[in-house]
Amino acid sequence: MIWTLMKVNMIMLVRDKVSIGLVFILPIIFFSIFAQVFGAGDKDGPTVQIAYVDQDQTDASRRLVQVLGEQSRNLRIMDRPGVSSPLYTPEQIRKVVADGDVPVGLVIPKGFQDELLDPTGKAAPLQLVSDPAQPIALQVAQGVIRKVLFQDMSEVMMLRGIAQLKSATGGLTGRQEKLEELVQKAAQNQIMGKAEKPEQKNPTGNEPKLDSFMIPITTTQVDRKTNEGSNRKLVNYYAAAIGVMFLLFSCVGAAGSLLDDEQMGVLGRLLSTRLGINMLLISKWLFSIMMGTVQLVIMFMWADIFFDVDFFNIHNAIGVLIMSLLTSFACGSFALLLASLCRSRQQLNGISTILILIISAVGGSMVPTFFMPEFMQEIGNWTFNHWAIEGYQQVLWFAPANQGIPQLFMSLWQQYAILLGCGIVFFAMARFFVGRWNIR
Amino acid sequence: MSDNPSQADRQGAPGSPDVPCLVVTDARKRFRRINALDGVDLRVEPGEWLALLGPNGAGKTTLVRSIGGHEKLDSGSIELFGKDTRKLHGRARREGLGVVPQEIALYPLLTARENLSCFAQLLGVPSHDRSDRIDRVLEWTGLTERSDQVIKHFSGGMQRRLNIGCSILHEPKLLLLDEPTVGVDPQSRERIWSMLAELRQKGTSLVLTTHQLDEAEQTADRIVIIDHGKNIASGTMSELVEETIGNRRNVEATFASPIPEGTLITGFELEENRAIGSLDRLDSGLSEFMNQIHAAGLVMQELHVESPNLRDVFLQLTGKDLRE
Repeated sequence: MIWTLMKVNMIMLVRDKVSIGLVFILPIIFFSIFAQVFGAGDKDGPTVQIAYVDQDQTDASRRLVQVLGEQSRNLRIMDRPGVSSPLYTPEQIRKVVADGDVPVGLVIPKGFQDELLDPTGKAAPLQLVSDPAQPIALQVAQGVIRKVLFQDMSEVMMLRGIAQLKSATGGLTGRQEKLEELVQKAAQNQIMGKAEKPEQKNPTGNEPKLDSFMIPITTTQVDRKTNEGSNRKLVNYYAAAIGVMFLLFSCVGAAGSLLDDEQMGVLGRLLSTRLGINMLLISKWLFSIMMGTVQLVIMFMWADIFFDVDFFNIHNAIGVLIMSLLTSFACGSFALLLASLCRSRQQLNGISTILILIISAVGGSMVPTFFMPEFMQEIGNWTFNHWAIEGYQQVLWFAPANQGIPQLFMSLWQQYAILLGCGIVFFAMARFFVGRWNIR
Repeated sequence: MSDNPSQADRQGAPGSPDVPCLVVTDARKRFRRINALDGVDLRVEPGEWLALLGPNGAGKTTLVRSIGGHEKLDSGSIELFGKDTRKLHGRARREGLGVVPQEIALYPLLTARENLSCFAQLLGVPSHDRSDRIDRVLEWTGLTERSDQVIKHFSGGMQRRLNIGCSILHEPKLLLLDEPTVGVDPQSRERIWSMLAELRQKGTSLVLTTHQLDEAEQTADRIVIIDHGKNIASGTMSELVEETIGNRRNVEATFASPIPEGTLITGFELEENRAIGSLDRLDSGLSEFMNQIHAAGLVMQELHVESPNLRDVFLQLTGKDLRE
């Protein structure tokens, strides 16, 4: 008897393609996405994008940039489109970090090479400009720069070590002075890029005391509306990310009433009235937009009251309201498209759950996109929900506190255009597919 | 049809006494390998009640859906109130037509009044008349006292009544009813038919599909039977009987005592104290039957002559019961 029932269940599962997807395929897809996000697919850890300005313009500074780009998979040296990156100024570096284009900026100061080769002097510090919301990116950047300096500019660092020894002991022996000369030549060659890369050896476990002779790195943070750093940004982020994901589910629920109506015969009755298919679809769409906007606004109000997300100011409230309208516009159309493609509510529920979870994972509703590897971020750019989350981030986090509302709208043109465009295309497709219900 | 548009419009206005409400000509519709409609013709005159019968899969629902506009014919035409539906769009396509679906096509979480109000607006009932019209329909359906209750708690019969009520708010001249009494108790069924009888008095034409042959027999002016997407018979009940069964009648006689062994009555089966058979002509056949009884020395206690019903007609025509 048990086997009979098990067999029935197995047959039902095999014949229900959506359930097979939910049971077997969705977990694999999710595992793969999260594995990529958290670096299982990238054994070298996360990749951090970094913009730089080279004020020194010397062999040493160019060598540092070159080695950072070539030798480390963890730092991606950013060029501005159409403009070579050395044309950046420190102010521009601060701006691109403040705008959220890159999490970290590197300023190689004038005098960097001179200080490197003058072990007695105090080296001009490398400056890292970081987004306070992205401490991990800053740590990665610091770690990689130090690693590159020690691995690929080891003779230079050794020279600095000898200088430290000289100042500590008051002078060098003859053999030590000869060694210093050799190292000085090697360091010169290394700066010119002529030295061979040192052989990688297993670590001994004895960590050198770096701080005494390493090139100092100073860090500064760009200003934010709040100074509370990464936690605040994550709360802002998740208010948008969770809001958009649940909006998708809500919109599918609302659009699914089309299929309920069809199943109950209400659709036939509705279409027998003055109401045409266009009016019916528009009424469902407008309802989704209204419901979605209210849902998101309530969520941000809640986030303001209990989690200090800054919603109750005119700039942010208007920005969030417009974003919510456009996000609901796109999500409502997307949900109608799914409903128009499905034959029953059950089918819609299954398919929409799979799709929403996937685009939410890829688009950044589960894990922030700035934690993701670059190729995952590229994929995320193809999901409209990602642009919605980006838009909210722009309003609540990246927009300067003194920014006017027109400037805010201008800065969001890309998000607005994508959400509007997606909404219109999805709605047009939904209209095409619901043609099967039309009165002839 | 006149070339003069204004005259044509007058002729085609729903309710014009000289224009048929519905004319279906050579309707054909194919779903992949199935010929749902294979040249069906139908005509409904103003005020006429027509029952559309056929076994399951005969094409009734496809025909009703096509008339209602939910299916597009592959070929053939449908005229509503004298106008070809292929040339009608939007509001004009639905004018004067009411459709009562087989399902309870209502919003279960709305009250009876809210449902009526919603469909009154969608059906284009003028706002100044809407409230009165809703009250009249509530009274007509017997739901006035429960008008403000959510309908999901209503009985099946009450929901059916409201289902019909929501389709007549705009006072259509032609009402399509798809199985209006399916799944309701006899009391509710009676109530529904008395509601519909009121519509007949107002001159509403009606096309009814049903599995309840007695209902069709008792209420319809004319019956159309379709099978395999084709008309196989059409006419009044007496015409159908005449065409299919003719004058033959079933006769059953009961006697005071058991029939002695060896007794023979031509054309009848004998069992214990009963004789069951049929007579091709009642007038001549019955006297012949009585003579044989007297000759056999039997004393008759009861005699039943059964009029042929729609089921007999249906079986004769299709070779199957309606529920097959």
